[in-house]
Amino acid sequence: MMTLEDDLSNKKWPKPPFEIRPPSAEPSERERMLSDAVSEYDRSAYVREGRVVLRHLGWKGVVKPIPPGESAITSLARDPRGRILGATSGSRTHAFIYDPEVDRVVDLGAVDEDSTAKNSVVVTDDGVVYLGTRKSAGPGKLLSFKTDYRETLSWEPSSPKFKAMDLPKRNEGIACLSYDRNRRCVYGITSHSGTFFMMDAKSHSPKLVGQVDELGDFSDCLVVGCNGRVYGGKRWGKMYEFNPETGDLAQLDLEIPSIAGRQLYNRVDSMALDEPTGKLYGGGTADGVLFCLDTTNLRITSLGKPTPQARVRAIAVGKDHRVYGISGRRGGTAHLFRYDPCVGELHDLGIPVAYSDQYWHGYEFDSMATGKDGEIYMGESDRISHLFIYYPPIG
Amino acid sequence: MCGEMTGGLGVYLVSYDPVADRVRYVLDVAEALGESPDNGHATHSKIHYCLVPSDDGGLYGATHCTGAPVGDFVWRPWNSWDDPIRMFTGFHIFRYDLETGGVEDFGSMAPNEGSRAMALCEKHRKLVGITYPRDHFYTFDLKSNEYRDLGRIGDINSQSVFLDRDENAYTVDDYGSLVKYDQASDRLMHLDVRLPYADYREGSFNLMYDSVPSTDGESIYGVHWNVDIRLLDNRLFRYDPFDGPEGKIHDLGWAYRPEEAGPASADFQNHHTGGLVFGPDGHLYFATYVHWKEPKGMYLIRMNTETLEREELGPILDSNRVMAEYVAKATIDFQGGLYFATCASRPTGIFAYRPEAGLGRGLSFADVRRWG
Repeated sequence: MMTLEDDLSNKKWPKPPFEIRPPSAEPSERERMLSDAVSEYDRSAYVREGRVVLRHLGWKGVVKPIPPGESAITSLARDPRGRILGATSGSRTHAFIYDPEVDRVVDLGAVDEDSTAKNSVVVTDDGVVYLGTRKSAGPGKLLSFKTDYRETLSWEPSSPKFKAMDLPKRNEGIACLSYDRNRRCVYGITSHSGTFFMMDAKSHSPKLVGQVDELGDFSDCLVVGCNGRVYGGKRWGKMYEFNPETGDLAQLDLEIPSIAGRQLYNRVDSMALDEPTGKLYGGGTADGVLFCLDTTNLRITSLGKPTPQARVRAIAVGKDHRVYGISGRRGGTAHLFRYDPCVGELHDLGIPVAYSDQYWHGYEFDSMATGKDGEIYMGESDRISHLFIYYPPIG
Repeated sequence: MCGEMTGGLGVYLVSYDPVADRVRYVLDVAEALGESPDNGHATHSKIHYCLVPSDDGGLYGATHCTGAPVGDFVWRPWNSWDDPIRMFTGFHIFRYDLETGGVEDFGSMAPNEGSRAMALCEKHRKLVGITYPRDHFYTFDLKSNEYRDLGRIGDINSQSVFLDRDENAYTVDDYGSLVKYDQASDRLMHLDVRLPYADYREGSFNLMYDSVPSTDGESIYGVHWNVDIRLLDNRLFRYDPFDGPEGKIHDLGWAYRPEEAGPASADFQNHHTGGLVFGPDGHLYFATYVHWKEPKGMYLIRMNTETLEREELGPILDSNRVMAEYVAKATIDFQGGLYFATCASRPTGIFAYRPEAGLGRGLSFADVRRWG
């Protein structure tokens, strides 16, 4: 009877790439070429243009960061002073603030439990923050607080006063929020029925407008265009628009791009406005195809797929007018990509890996915001999460 | 037996019979799991600290990646994550029956991920481990065959998962803080207990390489992992899990550093220590890299855990007088013989050491090794 060992002695084995040689022997030219290729290969999957750092969700080495399981950053927004406000999702939702001047994150406290705060932090020009949460069932929260919060003694924990506001629908939470600076109006969608609402930032009385999708399949992101209209996504890659002048909520004759045959699985995943041009950039869930919506003529242009992965989970337009986004499904390895509208180039920058404050691969991200100096904030959304900061290269 | 260094090679299960003094290849693991090493995927090239004997007469194993696909000379998971051909299909958990040689394949657990370290909770019939590269903690229930991903615990894997007497499982995050899997609540807890580290460090890359239970089962002895850079310190520690609500860590100092080695500091030298095992004499044995004298390489050290006194037993040499370069893990046989597994040199090998004191009693499988 043939044993495994008989079998192995007759087996044709693959050839090792590197010959076994005495340590003192010089490597061959082939071996040198392969070694160089390995060195390049080892670095090639990571972001190499610009610089990636991260900050713990708490002053590193001084206070404990927001705990694992409640630290996934799912909302980011910038306040008028250039500070970054954020909210987390998980067993608890925390609000936090990052001030680039002091370069650390301060946990402002837990505001809800077993909750999600996705694209649900907005800041007014007066420094009032609105934060919405949702739960898998039942009501979430709509809170406001002022960002006149200042650190008195920098090591002392402090928290603003959170003010609970009336929910637009009593048994629902908030799916997402957006803010119109010109009209001083907060827009949002309720979590379960997908009802669009608006709320005057002075009177704080929410007004329901209507359901954005007849089948209840809607995106949890909203963007206010330069024309004052509000844009969002619904089932099968369709989009809708809210016109605040007429109060009309209408489906647009548009579809965001996907691979052929996959429109049924597609929805707007994320969107961001390029203020100087008025163009909206976004990505779809099904295949991660990047698109541009020109709101002046309501034309959508497909800009391609930055990676083989599905989804564009977060997107931001930089001060350099380039579009930065995160591609990749949950459970994968996120890639940061860049679209340069000047040259029409879509470029995968790679997996964000930070070397400071800690060596850490960023695999999951669900929010982005642009800083006052053009740095890009990326909210990691893993069991243990950090605030990533990407500094694009100059020029 | 690892097949990492050549594209298209899978892992083999090898046995050593101390009576016949014979090594045998007993299983082509990748083939047995339906993951032929020449199928174009990254190969199931290793079992990485994930081979554990059970009282049920089986060996439980989990496969690992990093071997290149056939024809390729390098592979990293990040570079091939979305490549449907070159991707790693995901680690399998299996049971090898020592009596019949049969294999029970529990299936592929997590696409793209390998299993870096694993422990067997014999009473709870559960395997617990950590995945690579995303460093997630998992459990696998052997009664229901249910795999659960409990989420990310760090960035660089610790190389060991150990158990206390109640089968709560422990490993560490990147800062050396203990992460506990609590059997009762089925939850992960992050403890305020850290592995010791030298005062010239800020405590990152504070990872664990190997760990072993004390003979009374009340403590765990462990050692740092030097990762691939040699500037880290290399300390032994003792963890008493039932001393206080979260247990207590005791710093036992550098694993082995006699005066002639010079001051203990970051010197970019190889300080690797592995192969921790308790001998029949109740002393802790381990292998450590000696770089301060010739011949350089792994030396066997014996430590009295009462006095912490270390005794250098000598270099670990094969019959051709070639030094072991890297001892990974060790185990004990039923008669008290100690075995040290080496890698990082060709050929790889198993070294045996027989302490003078024999065992006064028989060992069960659980006494041999409960984690990889």
